[in-house]
Amino acid sequence: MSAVPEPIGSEELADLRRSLRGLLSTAADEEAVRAAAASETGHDEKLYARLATELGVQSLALPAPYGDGFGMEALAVVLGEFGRSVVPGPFFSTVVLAAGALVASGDAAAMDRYLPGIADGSVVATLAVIEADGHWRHQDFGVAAQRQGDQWSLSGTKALVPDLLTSDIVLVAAATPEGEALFAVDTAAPGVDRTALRTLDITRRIGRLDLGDVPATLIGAPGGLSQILDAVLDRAAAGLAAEQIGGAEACLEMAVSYAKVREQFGRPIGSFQAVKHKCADMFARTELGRAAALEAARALDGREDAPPAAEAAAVAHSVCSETFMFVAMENIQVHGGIGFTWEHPAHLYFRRAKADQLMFGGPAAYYERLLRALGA
Amino acid sequence: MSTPSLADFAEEARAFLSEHATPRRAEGAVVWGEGPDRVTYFGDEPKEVDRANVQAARDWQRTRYENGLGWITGPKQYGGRELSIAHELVYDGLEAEYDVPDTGVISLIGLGMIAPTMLAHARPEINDRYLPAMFRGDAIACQLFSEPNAGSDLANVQTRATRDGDSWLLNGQKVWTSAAHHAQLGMVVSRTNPDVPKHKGITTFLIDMSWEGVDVRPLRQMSGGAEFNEVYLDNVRVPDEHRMGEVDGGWRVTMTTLMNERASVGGEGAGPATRPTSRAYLLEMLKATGRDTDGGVRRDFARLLADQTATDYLTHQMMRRARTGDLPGPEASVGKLMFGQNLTRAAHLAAEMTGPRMLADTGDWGAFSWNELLLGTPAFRILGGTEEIMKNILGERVLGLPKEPA
Amino acid sequence: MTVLDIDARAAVAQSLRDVFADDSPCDLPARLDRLGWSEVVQADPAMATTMLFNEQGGALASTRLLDDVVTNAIDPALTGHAVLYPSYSSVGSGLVLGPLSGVEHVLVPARDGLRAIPASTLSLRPFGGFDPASAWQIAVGDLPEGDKVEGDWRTGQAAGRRAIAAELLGVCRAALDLAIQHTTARRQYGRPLGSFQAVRHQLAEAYAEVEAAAAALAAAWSVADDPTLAQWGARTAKARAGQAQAVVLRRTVQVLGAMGLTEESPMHRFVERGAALDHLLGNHGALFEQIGRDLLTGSAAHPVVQIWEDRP
Repeated sequence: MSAVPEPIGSEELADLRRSLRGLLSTAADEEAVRAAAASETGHDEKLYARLATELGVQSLALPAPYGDGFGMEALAVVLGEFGRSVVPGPFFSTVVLAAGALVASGDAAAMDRYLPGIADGSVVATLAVIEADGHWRHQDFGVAAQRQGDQWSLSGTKALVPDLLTSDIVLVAAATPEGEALFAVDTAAPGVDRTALRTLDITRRIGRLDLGDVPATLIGAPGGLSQILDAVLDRAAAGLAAEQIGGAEACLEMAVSYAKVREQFGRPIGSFQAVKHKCADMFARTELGRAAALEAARALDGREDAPPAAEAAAVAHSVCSETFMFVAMENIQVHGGIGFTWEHPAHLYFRRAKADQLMFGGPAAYYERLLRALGA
Repeated sequence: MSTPSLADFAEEARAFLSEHATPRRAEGAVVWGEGPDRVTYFGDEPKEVDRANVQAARDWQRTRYENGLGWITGPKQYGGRELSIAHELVYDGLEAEYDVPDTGVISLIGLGMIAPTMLAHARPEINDRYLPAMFRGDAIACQLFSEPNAGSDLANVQTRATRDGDSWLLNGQKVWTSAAHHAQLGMVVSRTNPDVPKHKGITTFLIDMSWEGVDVRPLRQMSGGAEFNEVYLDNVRVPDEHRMGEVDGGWRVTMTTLMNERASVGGEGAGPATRPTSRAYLLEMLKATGRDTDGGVRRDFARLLADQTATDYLTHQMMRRARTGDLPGPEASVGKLMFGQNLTRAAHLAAEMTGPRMLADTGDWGAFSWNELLLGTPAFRILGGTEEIMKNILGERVLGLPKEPA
Repeated sequence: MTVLDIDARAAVAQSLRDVFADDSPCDLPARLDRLGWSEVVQADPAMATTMLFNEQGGALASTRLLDDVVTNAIDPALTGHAVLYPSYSSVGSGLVLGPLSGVEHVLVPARDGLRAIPASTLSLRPFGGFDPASAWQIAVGDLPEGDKVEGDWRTGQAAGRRAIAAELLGVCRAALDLAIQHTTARRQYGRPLGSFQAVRHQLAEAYAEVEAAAAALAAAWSVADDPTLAQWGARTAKARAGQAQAVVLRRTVQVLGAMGLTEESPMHRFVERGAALDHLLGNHGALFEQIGRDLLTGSAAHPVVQIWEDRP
């Protein structure tokens, strides 16, 4: 189903990282991030467009002919930079979740219809799976699809859909009489009701989707959803891991810089073992997480000496979720009182870390997936 | 003759290995209840078995040396090949596929740490006399560093070396010396000047363990075995030519030795404990003990597996880079830190899965046998540098945090 | 009920320490008698039992004092019986805490109630194992039918759990004392080990664990006479003390450094005794699981200690 990705050299990756970091340092510094998060749409649409036109990141890892055909290792660099700057925006939903589902479906007509717009940044898309009980599952959906001749229509509610209100297209997981399937819904279609929800992570909008007999396009075949979602989850775990490590690095740097300059009891707080060892622990966990994220990307790119993709993705999901959460928390701890204020950026990472950790069900879910991947 | 490429060298190594060794058979699946259930990191074999193992290690080392593969990075004048560390790692990787004796007792400290120190700081006569013998497996060298009052703070050594004509007299006590009972040589860190700052009054020597006054006594550890020793030095006469480095300039020499510890990249993967704490074994244990439906145990198990697997990834990535000449930096300490923590958690998880049956030797397969490992795990966060010291090093040298004030 | 004042308690603690320092465990009941121990118990059973078992733990003494606590709680007329504790091994039908010389009957908790069997019918062998210094024996082979005994095992079990919790705390405190002594005396880098934060904080965490478990035990004693709460409190206290030994002993071993890893160092004996006591009458993992299961099947959570006066 997935083509072998284009190889990308380490020089090219370094250049990409440099350019992206440069762009984000001005267009997505802390002030810009807070402003975007507080804005009507929740993100900087101009930045999203620039990412497409100036750097082509949306199309970087889409398979040819839709994009450059690079693999997860390349996409991981992009996601890492976004994580480091905790950039608000629908990149993850559009490029990792929605585009990932389309490619995994193997449905050429669907890919032709939606991927070009995703690639050039003109179409924002997302994936709607979770319903009222908050579980990420691959069957037993309340949202149901009815068929009339060749036309499908969807009814029901998806409780937590990332970037819903800025999306043009939502891919919806639904039950059909012939098995679970994925459908594309145009958010401008009649019967679509989108409600913005107040969120823990102010840099990532979530909405509730109510569908009342909405015309929908079938993607792939009925009964094929589970396979699509499994593939999406592996890719998403790897992509998320890259974002989580980027965030963790930012927190580690923040903590260490602070520990070097902040003085108490006549000396820098970093000279106290309790703080020093805490920073060492943060470093060690970040290194471990980085190794896990890298191996997941390599596995998904089909590298010969990489571990099985399902295993590597599950390991990365667990280790990097725990790492980012730990480092984000301890970063606040190192900062003491000031780290607890609204004005300090530490909480932006704390919120993102928690939201990332819970995105696909949280610890119970990722640990069980890991056990299953390893045969327990 | 020009330097062989890594590919050519690999061919040479393969040819040697297929001639002198048999390929390692793929590890069979774990069958719960079959075979010996002994779980320990430290050998604690009966004396005769221990000696036989060491002899086998010496023989294998000699075979390698005689075929030009005993000291891949060493100078040709001592029987080395003067090749790169990448070549060495290529050889190590290939050797791991064959069933050969574990030469750790010879190579970990003697060849890996003391030999490079000798190259840098010992007299040419000393190197001529001992280096070939070491790499031939005839002379095992041990580290006589730690003392009861000089553990983490090695500069606090009190073993005295006093000048007596053209030799020195050594007096003192060393502790936690591994393999001293097999060693022919020892590197001693001693105090030659008590009137200057600690690390400025240190001198190092290479001694012959058979000299009069050298007394090796086993050190019994809490897990029951005695892999380590105390070494008493009572008026040991050391000719000045055995001095390594300058008088009072021994701290530099000691640092050379300690820095070579990083050469054991991925070394922790070996060891008899790794099979029972391996994923396959623990998975079997989870099912065999009926704890596979226990949510709490599953959670703890998954967390451990995640960290263990990620640690493996980290180690493999380091080795991959090292093979291209990109030598390990700070990540090496992270691997060490994780190894100790993972082993500890694995032992405690096994204890939880076994439950109370672990406490008594009831004959239940795979139950009581965990005692040794469990009681051995504290060593991994203490010996070879405590976790606290390692975190100091990570904090100060990697992250650049300020030192503790004097 | 008189409560001993702080000076009296210190004196009692010292006397107990002397009692346990003496090497012959058979003499123990006699030595306690000479102390007038039964009066102390009558005056303040909670404090007396806790102190006695604290000292037993700290002294790493292996005796059958627990049997008296258990039998007395079920029925004072059973004093003198030894107790066969539920076996947690696949071999053996139970565990006794020491040799049974001079014992006539052994109390056996069975599915259908309590029974007493003649001590001579038990086939015993040393338990050994993880804690080689303990005097525990395992009963092998089938048990005779014995005579029915009136009484509720659970009352005895609760009393036993409170005592074992105290003993565990004694083990933890002694290990912590040793760790503090060591880190105060041992110097590295020109200063005591205990002046390094990494060491201090580990000891502080260990101390907090001990105090928390001690508080749980005190709470258990405060409801010991309440039929609804007694078992809940005892189970919680034992679980908490079992957890404490895991946390505390790992830290005390770590701060003792390489010296603590030797066979000569007493530290490993605390580790072994702690583990063995944790498993007696339910290890902390099993007990926490039971508590969880009870809560999930509808049992009310019994707050043993009222923190706010005005809450219902």
